[in-house]
Amino acid sequence: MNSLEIAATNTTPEVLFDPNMNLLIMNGELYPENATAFFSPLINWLEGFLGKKNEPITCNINIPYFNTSSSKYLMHIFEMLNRAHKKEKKIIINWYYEEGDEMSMECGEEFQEDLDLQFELVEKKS
Amino acid sequence: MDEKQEIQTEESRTIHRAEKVLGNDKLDKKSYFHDEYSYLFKQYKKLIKQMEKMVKMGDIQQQKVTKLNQRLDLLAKNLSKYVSPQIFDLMQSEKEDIKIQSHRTQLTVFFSDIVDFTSSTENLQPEDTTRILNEYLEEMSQIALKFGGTIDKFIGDAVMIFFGDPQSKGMQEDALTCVAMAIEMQKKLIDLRRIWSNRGLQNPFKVRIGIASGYCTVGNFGSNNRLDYTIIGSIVNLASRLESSAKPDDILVSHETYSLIKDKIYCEKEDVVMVKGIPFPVQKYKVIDFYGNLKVHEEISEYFDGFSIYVDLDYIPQNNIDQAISYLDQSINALKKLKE
Repeated sequence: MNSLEIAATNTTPEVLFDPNMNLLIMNGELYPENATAFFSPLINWLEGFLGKKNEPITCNINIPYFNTSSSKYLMHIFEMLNRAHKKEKKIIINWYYEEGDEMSMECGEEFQEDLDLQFELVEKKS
Repeated sequence: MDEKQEIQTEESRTIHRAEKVLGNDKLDKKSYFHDEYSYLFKQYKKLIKQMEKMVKMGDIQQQKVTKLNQRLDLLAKNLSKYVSPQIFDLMQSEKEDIKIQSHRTQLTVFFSDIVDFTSSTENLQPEDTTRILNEYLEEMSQIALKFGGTIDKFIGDAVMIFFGDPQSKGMQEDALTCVAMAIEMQKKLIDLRRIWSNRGLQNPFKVRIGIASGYCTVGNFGSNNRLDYTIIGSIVNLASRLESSAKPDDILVSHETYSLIKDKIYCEKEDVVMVKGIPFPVQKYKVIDFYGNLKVHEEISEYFDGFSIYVDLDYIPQNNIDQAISYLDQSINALKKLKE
C-alpha cells in the first residue's frame, strides 16, 4: 500500500498517511472550499488501510483552525478509527494545540468526548 | 431550560416523543418495525449530537476568526502610523504580494529641515526636546495630509514629502499644491514659535524648505523582505540642496517648479546655485506667497513677462525707501529709453 502525501495549501493542511510507519499526520489550517473533494481520498485511503493492517496506529493531528464542513469530516474519520479500535486495533490520536490556545483545546475535548480510543490533548510549548 | 435545549427545542421534543413510543408496553419489542424504528432513533440522536458539536465548534472557530480580525485591525491601525496614508491604501488594495518594482513619473519633491535644531533646544531637557519635535512633526504631517502629500520619510528633524504619486492632479496642480503646503507650514510655524517661546524655548527654531519638480523614479526599493516605497533621482537631490541653501523661514524652488506656479504664486529670483550631481548652475527662486494674499497688505504687486514688481509698504524699512525710489527711477528711465 502506498503512502498518501498531500502538500499543504493556504486552506488545507499537509497530509502524510504512512502505512509502513502506521502514522497518520495532518498539520495546518483546514478550510477547503470543497471539503468533500479534500476528504474523499483521505477516507478512501483510510478504509483500505484499516481493513488490511492490525498494528498500532498513531495519528498526530495539528489543526489550529477548521471550518464547519471539515469538522463533520474530522468526526467521520475519528469514528472510523473508533470503530477499528472497537475491533481491538490499538489506536492513539494526539490532538496538538498551541500553548494558550484554549479554543483549539476545547475543540479537541469535543472530539474526545464521544470516542473510546485513546485521545490525547497535547499542548505544544512555544 | 439550558442553552442547548433552547437551540434544539424541537429536536429534544422529537427525541422525548420517540422514547415514549419505544417504551410503550403495548409495542411488540421483537417486531421488525421496532428494530428499524430503534435504529432510526439511534441514528437521529447521533445526528443531533453531531450537529450540537458542529455548532459548538463552529462558534469556537468563529471566535478565533473574530479575535484574529481584531488583531489584524490593530496591526493595520498601528502600521498606518508608520506609512503615508496613500501608501497604506495602496497596500490594502493590493491583492497580490507587493513586488520590487518602480516607474518613472513627474513629481514635485519637498524637503524641510530645522535650522540649528540642536542649538535651539540645548537649554531643554531631552523629554521636552522630544515633545517639541513631535509636536512640530505632527503639525507638519497634518498639513501634508490636508494637502494630499505623500510623506516619504522623517529623517530626524527633516521631512521629505512628494506630490504626484500614487495620486496626481497633473504636474502643475501637484507643484502648486506642494508650494501651497509649504507656505501654510511656514505660517503655522509662526504660531508654534509663539507657543514654544511661552513654554521657555529661548530661540524657537526656524525651518528652511526646498522644492523641485521633474522626473523621478518612484516605487518599491529594497529587498523582498524589507521594502521602502520611495523616490530616487536628481530632482530629489536638487530639492534637498535647495533646502540646505535656503535661509531660515525661506522656501526655495527650482526653475521647473517656478515655471509651474508663477501664475499664481509670487516668487523672487535668487542667485544660481551649483548642485552636486547636476553639471550646470541651477536657478533658484524664493517663494513669497499667493498673489491674492499679497494684495491684502499695503503693497504694490504686479507681474508679467519681463516685468515683476513687489513693494510691501508695511514691511519696507524706512532707511531703504530712498534706495527703493532710486531703483524705481532707474527702471522708469530705462523703460522710457526702450520706448523711444
